[in-house]
Amino acid sequence: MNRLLVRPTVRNKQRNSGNIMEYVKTACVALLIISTSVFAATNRIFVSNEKSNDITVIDAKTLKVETTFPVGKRPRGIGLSPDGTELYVALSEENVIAVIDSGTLKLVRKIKSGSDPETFAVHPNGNIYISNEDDAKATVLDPKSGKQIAEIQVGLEPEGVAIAPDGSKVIVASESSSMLHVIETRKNTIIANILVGARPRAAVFNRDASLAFATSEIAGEVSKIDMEKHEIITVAKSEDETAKPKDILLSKDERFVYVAAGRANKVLVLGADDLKLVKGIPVGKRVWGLAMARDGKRLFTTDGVSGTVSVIDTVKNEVIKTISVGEFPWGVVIDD
Amino acid sequence: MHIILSFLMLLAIFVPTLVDAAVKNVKLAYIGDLDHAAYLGAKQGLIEANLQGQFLGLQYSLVVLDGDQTSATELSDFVALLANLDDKALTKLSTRTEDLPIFNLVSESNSLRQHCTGNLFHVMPSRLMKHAAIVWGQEKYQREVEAKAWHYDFKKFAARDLNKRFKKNFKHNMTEHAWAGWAAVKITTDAVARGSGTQAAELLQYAKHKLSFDGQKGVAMNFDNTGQLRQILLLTADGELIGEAPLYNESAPGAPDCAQQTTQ
Repeated sequence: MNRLLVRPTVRNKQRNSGNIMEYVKTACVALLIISTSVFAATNRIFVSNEKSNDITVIDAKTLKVETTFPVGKRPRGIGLSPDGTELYVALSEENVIAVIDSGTLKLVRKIKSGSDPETFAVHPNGNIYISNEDDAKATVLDPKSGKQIAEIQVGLEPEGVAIAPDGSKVIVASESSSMLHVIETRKNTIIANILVGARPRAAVFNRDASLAFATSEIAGEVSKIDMEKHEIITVAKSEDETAKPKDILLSKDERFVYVAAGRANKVLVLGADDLKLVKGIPVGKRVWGLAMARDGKRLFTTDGVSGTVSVIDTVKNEVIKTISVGEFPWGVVIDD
Repeated sequence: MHIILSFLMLLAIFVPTLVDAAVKNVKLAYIGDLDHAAYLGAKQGLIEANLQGQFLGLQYSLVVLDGDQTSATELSDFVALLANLDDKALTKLSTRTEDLPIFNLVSESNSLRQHCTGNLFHVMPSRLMKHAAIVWGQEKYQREVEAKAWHYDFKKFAARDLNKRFKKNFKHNMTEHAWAGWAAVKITTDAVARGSGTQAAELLQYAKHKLSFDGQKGVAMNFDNTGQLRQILLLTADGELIGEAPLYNESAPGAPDCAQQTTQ
């Protein structure tokens, strides 16, 4: 998530009280300080627990559980508003997105999301792109007004949603149609359909959106895609048959791809260039969710069956801590 | 003259576009009882295949044939045949049309799988497979169990979604025969989408050698050399779902090795 972090360095150069403009300036800076402190990152890690219907809040600095609070039925997809002040949680069995104040952890409102929201991504403009698993469609919502901006027909069982960092394109993965739908965001229309290995689950763009990487769970594959031509460049198939790739992220320097390998109970580290396996990092059972700290130094996983979050040091590519969370943790997001 | 020239120029501009955008029609055939769950399953598969096909310029249809309409000419229009037939009729059909993939949706006969027929694919598990799963399940659960290809209460691996879709469309729970009908259509249409071509003979080779099918049971499925679909089976006790029997690795337990018997 991108956030404008303003670190004011205020110095009163002139003490001339007669200068009204200086007063105005000082007042503006003071307001900026106040607003900045309001929007300061909470340094919290939020985890949606699909079975225990709650959110675990972890302190990103101490890596200790701060609190757990109930959220609603079958929380899965989880994300933050661009300014980090609001936490969004897809409640699959309530057909809503719960909006929670990331500071007070109070429920602010619930937005109707269309049927069975599974996961979503937040556009830099604040809109949410949601996959509606039951209805073979993606819905675009304005989370402030709750208004539906667009509805896009996609393939069966849409799941993973990825948004280009510049906001120009969105990928929605249809699991049962084995397809990545590329949507341009000005008119919210599909501009390409890319057939990939069976059961695509998640995708990620690189920084300049020239490439995307996507996982195929049943095929056990990771595909690297040219996002200008919308063509597959390379496909890597895992040698480990138990590897069922789910979430996927790039390292901060974009040299490596991290893949949550499901029932292989590992995070796979692949070279972003050739998709060759660099390392398998053992984590908890049925690892699905991934989130990277802003500085790129720590990677967090949700280990569904173990009920844990594994913390990986991305320099050593080793687990440095395992944190017990709720039942069947699904998604993870960091407000840092 | 000018009008004709302008018309020709317009034609030159638009015809290639129209040709590019042309939808390819692909026909599948079904023979058997129309009140049977296997047929409803095939119709579910068709709905899903067309949902995918709309993005790829493919339009699938399922044509119901009589048992008598099975001459090579009558079958030449189809990329695959879904058969809800007895063993005798299935065997007869498969020898008559060697290049046409025929999907057996119902028969569990062990002897049918001994034939090593090159174009007969068994989506339903054999009795031998079911027996092996039952033995495994009874040892694990210490009670009487049954083995099924599918169960309406199965939720994992997005099975829940397929069960919901089927019930919404047909107002019935999805049975194992319905699953077999669905799977046969999805196997065929997935192969077509992935470039097997739209000729029956090409599809036959794809089904034999390249298939990696997502049957919503958590594993990639393919056919062994007897034509049997390798799959996990679901275990039930008193009609309730209690677990899953593991996938066998090579051939079904007790099955012949057709690779030794075929000249291909």
